[in-house]
Amino acid sequence: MNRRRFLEIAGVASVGAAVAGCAGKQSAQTGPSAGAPKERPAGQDGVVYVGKNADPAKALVAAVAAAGGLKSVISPGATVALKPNAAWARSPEQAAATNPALVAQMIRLCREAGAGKVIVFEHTIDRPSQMVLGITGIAKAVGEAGGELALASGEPDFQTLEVPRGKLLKQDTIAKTLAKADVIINMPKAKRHSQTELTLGLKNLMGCIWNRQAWHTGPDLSQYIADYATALPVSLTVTDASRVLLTNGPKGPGQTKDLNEVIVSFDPVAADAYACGLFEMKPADVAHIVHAAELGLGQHDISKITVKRV
Amino acid sequence: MKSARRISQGLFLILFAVLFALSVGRLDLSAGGLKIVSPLPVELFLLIDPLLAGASMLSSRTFTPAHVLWILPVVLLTILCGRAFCGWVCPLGTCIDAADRVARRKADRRTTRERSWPRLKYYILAGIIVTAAMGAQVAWLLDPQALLVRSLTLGAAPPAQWTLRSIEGVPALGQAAGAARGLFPEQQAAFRQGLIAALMLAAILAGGILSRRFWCRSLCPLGALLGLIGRIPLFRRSITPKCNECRLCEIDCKMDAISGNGAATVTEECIYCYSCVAVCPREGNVLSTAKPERSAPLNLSRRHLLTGIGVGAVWSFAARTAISEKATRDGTSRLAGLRLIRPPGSVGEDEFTELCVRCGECMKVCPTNGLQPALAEAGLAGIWTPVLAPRAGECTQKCTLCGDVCPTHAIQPFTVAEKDYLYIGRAAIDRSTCVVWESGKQCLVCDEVCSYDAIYWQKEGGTKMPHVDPARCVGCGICENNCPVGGPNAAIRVTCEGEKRGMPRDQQKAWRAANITEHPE
Repeated sequence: MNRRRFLEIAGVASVGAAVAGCAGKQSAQTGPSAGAPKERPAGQDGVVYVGKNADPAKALVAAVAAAGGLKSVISPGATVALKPNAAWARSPEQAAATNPALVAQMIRLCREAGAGKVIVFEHTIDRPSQMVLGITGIAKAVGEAGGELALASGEPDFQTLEVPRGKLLKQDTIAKTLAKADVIINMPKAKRHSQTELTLGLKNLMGCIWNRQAWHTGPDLSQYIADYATALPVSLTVTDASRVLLTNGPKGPGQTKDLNEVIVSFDPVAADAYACGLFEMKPADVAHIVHAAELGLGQHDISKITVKRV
Repeated sequence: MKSARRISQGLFLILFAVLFALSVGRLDLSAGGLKIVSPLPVELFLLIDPLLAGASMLSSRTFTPAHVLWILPVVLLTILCGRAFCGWVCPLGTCIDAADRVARRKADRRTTRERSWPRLKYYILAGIIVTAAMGAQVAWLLDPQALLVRSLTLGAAPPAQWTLRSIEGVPALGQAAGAARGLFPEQQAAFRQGLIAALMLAAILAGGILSRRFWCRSLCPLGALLGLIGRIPLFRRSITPKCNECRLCEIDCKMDAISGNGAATVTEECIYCYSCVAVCPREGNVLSTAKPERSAPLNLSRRHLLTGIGVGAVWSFAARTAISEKATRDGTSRLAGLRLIRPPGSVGEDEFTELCVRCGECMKVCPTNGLQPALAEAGLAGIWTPVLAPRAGECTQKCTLCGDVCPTHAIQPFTVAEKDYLYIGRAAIDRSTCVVWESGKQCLVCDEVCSYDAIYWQKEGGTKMPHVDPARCVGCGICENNCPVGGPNAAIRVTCEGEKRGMPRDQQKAWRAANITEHPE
């Protein structure tokens, strides 16, 4: 081995690594795109299950049981991705993020239903992300319940997503973690929101894209939110209304209220429509809920929604 | 003993590398935010540096007993053993030894085939001291510890981080690269002027073309200072009766510190590398407490001393032309750029450029990559000092890292709670580009992301219009960072207006309490 030989080998190896890196990037982009939402189990349109308990984990267990369990959405060995709302570095009592105990219980329920792996995903707004998930208590909860944390930190963590049913939004991005998952379960926090009046399940999906800013400079933020929901295959919505944020939403700190409810539904629009009532608002007050109903994502008419309380 | 020295160099270099790697914030829930987790201060090598301590304290006319304690071990070591620091501890010295082996062929490793200018470093030292006496600090440019940390932070760590991230997709190799993520902050770091900082270090290592230890012999002001402090060491080189004046040691000495046919030692240059002892075929060289017969004091005659002071005077005059840019009354600079946004806890601007040694530690630990080296914002006196560039990264609320690592306390430590009233600037909405003010669109991202509840909206004609609350806005820049409008120029921008560095902290707190009003949402 002399110097020339060494340099030759090093040169070939670096070119090889660069090519392999590019190839790796390519295959991620042409991998399975999210496509259309999975089939909703029969008879679940416009049905919400509301568990009420001071312990959010118990409220969740009751509501999921009433909904018939998770086996209708989780096949044995499936990779389940949970999408909580953990954009902000706020502690659990401040009600700006999904309750960590709720996330932990959801992980346990998914595993009991036969999930192979449960990943908790978020694309935070406050930085650094590890700090945010720590302050919200969710990182600890995920570790204790046997889940895995996956946090997006840059553009390479996202891939293209086609939105064929969108009225205004035709193409956007989706986190690669979510694209690779078999099941996506949305776990929003019920809060007031300065721009959209409320942030619930449909709004929570904004954390799945890379470029949020583009939606704000686009023609209609509310339409974009609804359009995107047609392309992201959410199998179940679990809305955390244990403690809700009433003022200064979505980040707070603000006035909170303990409602002790957990809302479970296979119908994302119905879940959001029901939650409007918790803030003494109507679904018609929230533009993106109306647009989502127009796109056929679910039922937003309160008179046609069945609420099963447990 | 030569191998003992190599081991010592290796250990201190490893220590340097470990501390460099540990200078990444981790969440400490009991502290309510990010903290450095390290058994020793990550800025250790900067703390123990007598040149940085002396120049910053002298120029700012402050005395920090804690800082004096930190430099004592090195000072004591130097009094006893001359420039042993240079040969046994200094991480830049270790890098230079390694680079010299590459730069110089074995045949050329002789003092007779080298070019160096040993008096030059004393002129540089004189320049630093006289300038400090005149109230300006220029040690930062050529101090080896500051230079090394700065060059690596600005010029080496970002490309290393990027390279490792790029190969994460590669099978096998990618696993190791992914595991290395913990060595870097979450954000991909990028710094202005990073290439220049890297080139400075490269140039120093390339000095090996001219002589071994070229930097240490000809340029290093810290080496010059230690050489003067350790002029009469207790433990030093002398020759034994076995010496036959073959001069092998003199020719071999990498610091050109031996003269008089091997008999005399220039104590201000000897770095205790033991090469003379190793190369001597007849045990004619020894390092001990024995007093040598002949001494060779450095050739620093009165003429040289006056030249040094002359250089110092010229340098200090040049440095002090920047005095007008620091015309301050309340801790702020009246002529500096609007974007001179200093980290929270920073001292007033006058003192800041005197204390800041531009080590780059604060920039390294900033978790959002918001702290950047200043260019024009702080004038010539403030070049490469840290400024917040909100578009690059906000000052994230639950973090106190910059104050935790600053070795000279140009940034004083602070707590997350205090950040509510440490005003570093204020955001202002540009109504000509803000999509709400300009075209009535639905935005309010600034209101959404603000951690301090400093943006409120008021309905005008049915649209919610954003406003900045000056009592709550501390200038963190998260609004500017997230504003969907613009590239470098967002529709809401932070300037240094409203900063209150000149006020004591309890006064800033009282100001906030007196000026806070409730607004609707």
